[in-house]
Amino acid sequence: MPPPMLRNSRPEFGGMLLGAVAIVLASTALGLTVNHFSASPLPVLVQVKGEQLPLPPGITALSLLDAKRMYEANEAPFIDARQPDWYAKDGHIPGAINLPADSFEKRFLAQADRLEAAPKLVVYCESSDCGEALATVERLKEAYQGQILLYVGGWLEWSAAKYPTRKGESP
Amino acid sequence: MTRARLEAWLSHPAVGAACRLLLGGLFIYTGATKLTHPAEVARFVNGYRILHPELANFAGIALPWVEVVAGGLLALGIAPQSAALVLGGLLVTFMGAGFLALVRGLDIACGCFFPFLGGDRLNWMLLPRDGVLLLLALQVMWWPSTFLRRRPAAVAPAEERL
Repeated sequence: MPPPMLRNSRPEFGGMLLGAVAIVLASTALGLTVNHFSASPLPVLVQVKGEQLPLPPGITALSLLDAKRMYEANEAPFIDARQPDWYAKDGHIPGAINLPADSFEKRFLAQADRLEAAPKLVVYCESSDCGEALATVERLKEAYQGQILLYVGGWLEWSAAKYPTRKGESP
Repeated sequence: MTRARLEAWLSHPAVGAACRLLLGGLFIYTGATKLTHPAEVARFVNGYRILHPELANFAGIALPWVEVVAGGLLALGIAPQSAALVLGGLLVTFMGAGFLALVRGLDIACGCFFPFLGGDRLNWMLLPRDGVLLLLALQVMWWPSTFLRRRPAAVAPAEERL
């Protein structure tokens, strides 16, 4: 019997798509499994809190323009509640003190004199729906007596507005 | 060059193998460098400001594995069309995300190649570069080849065999 004729294979899209979905699902499952059993697993979903959540009692929300005005008037120290890596590599509002909730004590003590002397503090994180600023606010309420303002739009809004930014570990 | 000659050249098994090895190898490399840095990848993804920040970590965990697995299958010639479709889809996504970031004037890390050597800012070169890679993926989808030969798609109908 002669060998079967080779025919140019036009894509059979259904089968191709099914295979592609299988590849994506299998490799995602592989990634999640490896992450789960790794020495320091990354949380799969970042815990974020929607902006519809009420602000903690005693906390005032700050708009972009208010935050800009306070920054220019040097009216209050800014607190960046994001992880140090994001603070240093993506950048931050110049002068902002990096104070993530999970290393709060050490970092707060290092800046305690300056922070406790300020009548107001402005706290921000990545954007309006990141929970990091709220977590830092909760810690601040225990250690700080002045007024706490939450700059809701955060880093994404500030940098998109092309306002001053700075990179690196120092404020 | 006539259309038939061009098609004969494009469908040549050696061209297919070159496309598979080049595209597959590239994605194995870029994916493998990201495998152990999911948090860093999540930061890059978030920089584009398209995906909801809640999902950035998920993308950081899954994306490198999708790149490595699909790249590996493509290079080995296992389910090459599906693997090429996955990588083609990724390339289209990267181009779309890069385009949106650039027109919005974002100055961000590309996170594309050698991502952990630093200094790779997102720029317009992303579009022609990923466009060329997309052509490689389309070659494999159109003229699939297994390891070094073109794969017979299906056994020809009986009357053709007689």
